[in-house]
Amino acid sequence: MARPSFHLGGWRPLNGSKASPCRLPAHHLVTHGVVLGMTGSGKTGLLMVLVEEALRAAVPVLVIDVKGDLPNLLLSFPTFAPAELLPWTAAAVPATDDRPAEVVAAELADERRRGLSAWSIGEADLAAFSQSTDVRVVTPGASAGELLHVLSSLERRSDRWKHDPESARSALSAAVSLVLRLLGLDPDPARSREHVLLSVLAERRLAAGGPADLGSLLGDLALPPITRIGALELDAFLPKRARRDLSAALNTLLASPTFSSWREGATLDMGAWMAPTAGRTPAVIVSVAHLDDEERALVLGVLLEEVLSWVRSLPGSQRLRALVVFDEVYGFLPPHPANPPTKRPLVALMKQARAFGVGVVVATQNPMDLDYRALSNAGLWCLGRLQTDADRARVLDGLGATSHEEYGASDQLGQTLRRLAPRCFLMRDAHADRGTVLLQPRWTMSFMRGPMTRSEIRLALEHRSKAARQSVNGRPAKKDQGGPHAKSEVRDEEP
Amino acid sequence: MDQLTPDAVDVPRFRHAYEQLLDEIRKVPPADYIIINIDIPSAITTVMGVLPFFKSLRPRVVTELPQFDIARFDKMEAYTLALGHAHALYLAASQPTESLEAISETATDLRDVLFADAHALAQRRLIDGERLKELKGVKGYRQLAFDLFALAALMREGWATISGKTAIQLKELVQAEMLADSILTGVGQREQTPAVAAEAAENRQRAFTLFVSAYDHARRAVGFFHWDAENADDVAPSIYTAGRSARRKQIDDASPAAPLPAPQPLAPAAAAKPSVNGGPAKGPPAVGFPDSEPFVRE
Repeated sequence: MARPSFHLGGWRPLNGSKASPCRLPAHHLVTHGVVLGMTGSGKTGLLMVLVEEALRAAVPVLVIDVKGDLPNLLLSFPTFAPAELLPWTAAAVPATDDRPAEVVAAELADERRRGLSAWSIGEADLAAFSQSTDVRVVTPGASAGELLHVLSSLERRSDRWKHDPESARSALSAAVSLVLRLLGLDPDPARSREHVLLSVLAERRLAAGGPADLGSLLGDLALPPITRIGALELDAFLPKRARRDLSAALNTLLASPTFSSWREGATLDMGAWMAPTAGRTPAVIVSVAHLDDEERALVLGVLLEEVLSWVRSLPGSQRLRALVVFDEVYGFLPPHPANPPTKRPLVALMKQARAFGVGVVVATQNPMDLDYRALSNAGLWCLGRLQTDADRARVLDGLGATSHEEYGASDQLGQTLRRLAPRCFLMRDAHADRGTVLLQPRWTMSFMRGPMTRSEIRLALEHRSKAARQSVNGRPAKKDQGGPHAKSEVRDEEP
Repeated sequence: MDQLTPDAVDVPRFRHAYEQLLDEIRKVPPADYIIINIDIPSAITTVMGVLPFFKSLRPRVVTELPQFDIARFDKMEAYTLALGHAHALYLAASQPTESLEAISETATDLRDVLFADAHALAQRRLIDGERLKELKGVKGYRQLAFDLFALAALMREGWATISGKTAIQLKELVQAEMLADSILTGVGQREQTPAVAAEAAENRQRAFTLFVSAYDHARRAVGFFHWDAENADDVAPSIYTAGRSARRKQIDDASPAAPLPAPQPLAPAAAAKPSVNGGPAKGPPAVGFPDSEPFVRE
């Protein structure tokens, strides 16, 4: 069986001669990818193409969305009909454009049709894509999409305790750290006595087959079911007074209406998220654009720990079995000594996930504050236009650490980066023989109308649900046409 | 070094180190070669700046790291100088004669700067002004090279006294010596056979391997002693980043790329008009269409 490849668009050598189709073998992303580019460089569009192509290749995708752009995947309408775009025209044209919405929608639809047709994507492809994918949007702490129980590894029993207690313990540790951070206490599992005590109490309950919700833990703090922690008596380890203070703080958190929205909703279960639903390839977008910086770091830290635990539970694979896309990674993977809760699991994923067939693609428009050592193993680099000479030099330094043969040409690369047009990238695939090439991504099947607000996410989800119901009720069931690649050519061709 | 005449000068220390280590250099097997992917003069300058620190650390290395290869540690300076000469030989063998003129132009400028500072220091009796009378001037490659050696040596000898009283930096003295070495080497080897050029390239590769290996080895000792202070990279910086850092500092951040316009909502009227078959318009394809122009016009 031929290995799937991603139709990214067109590629050409750096001398700018005519382009050829760019088909990136899917397994090349097992060694991860990095996409860099300033605002307006087309970076998010390229990410969307990667997501779409993964889904077309039946590769489930987890998308971490910080800026609000990637929920545009909900706008991958199955036809070129202008009516699909009607609700989205207002934000797609200048405020001074006072033409009727229908006229604008017709122009946008025509442009979408021409753009995708130029890249050999027709309505049949759109329909196949829509029918074969299941897009979910998770909005922790908000009801626009699905709520997320960020403490599910703490408060909900998981079978993982039976067959992989180590990873279950890691996920539990991340959840306890989250709680302690919310309480303003030290979240470090190696240092914090509160962390150790809560983890021991919680694990005791979870290993016995029950949940370890915060209410139960409060009870355990008041009437401890244990007398020792390690080699010390409980009171010597954490005195009664300290346990009382911890109880009081936990109780306040528990009673907080705001906090309750963090403990409702979907269970954080990557295995379930990445499993096909009724034959459809899942794309789960965890959108945290509505959160503040600290909340984002905490939630994404818990999420990434869960991703890491799940990855480690998989059997080894050389094919791409799942893709994790992170847009925008700035602040979450900083260089030493910064250490936000996202960094440890992200670094671990960049190092270890390849053995299990899980690829990670990170993107940023801020190349200065990245831990390039963590990224040095990435096999695919896509560099869009960068704002300043300092940005370009920083990127080339980071790139040069793994590209000795290109060091001598780094000045030339810097000049090329400076001159790049929007939606053009320098692409280097470590698995390909051609070195650095120019990549021009194709048009996205998703209508890219910019960052989506919570209400817009809600609206898009409602429209999709409605369209799905109409498809089931109003039309005969379509014959299985072999999945998303029935018409696309699947060739393992490298650029 | 009593008389600084072209014929009586001691063998420059770069060449001396290279000749002393040539047997060891030639024994480096190809399988061990470390790819040259950094600017060698910058790397040499970096390490020359660190050498005094290595020397001060040596007693602790001997006492506290008995298994450490102290012999290799001690040869760090020799490896550095040898690499400098190997690099000069390579340049002389592989570049056209015109490069010698370019080198001498740079060397002349530096010689003038060093001489001006030395003259000022001599007037303040901070260095021996009599030795300046022995300089030969810039007419002729050899004279220029020996002036650079002489000025560098004079300032090094009095560095403890003049440091802080002159704008000259130690790295400029290193640069002066390297330029002088390059000039003398280039003068001596203006006509090279391809075989000689190949050997020069090979020896440079080997010398670089010894240099990098020794420096990495020495940095491990620094890392051990400076682990808690977390400043090992400051006191003994990586040669792979030092040159780039210096280059980055020269980058003019006031000249950013022409900024892209702020992201605007789609303006359908501005899109390329469709051709009859719905494809891209005539003329250059619009952004986002196949074969559109990949570069902006500046």
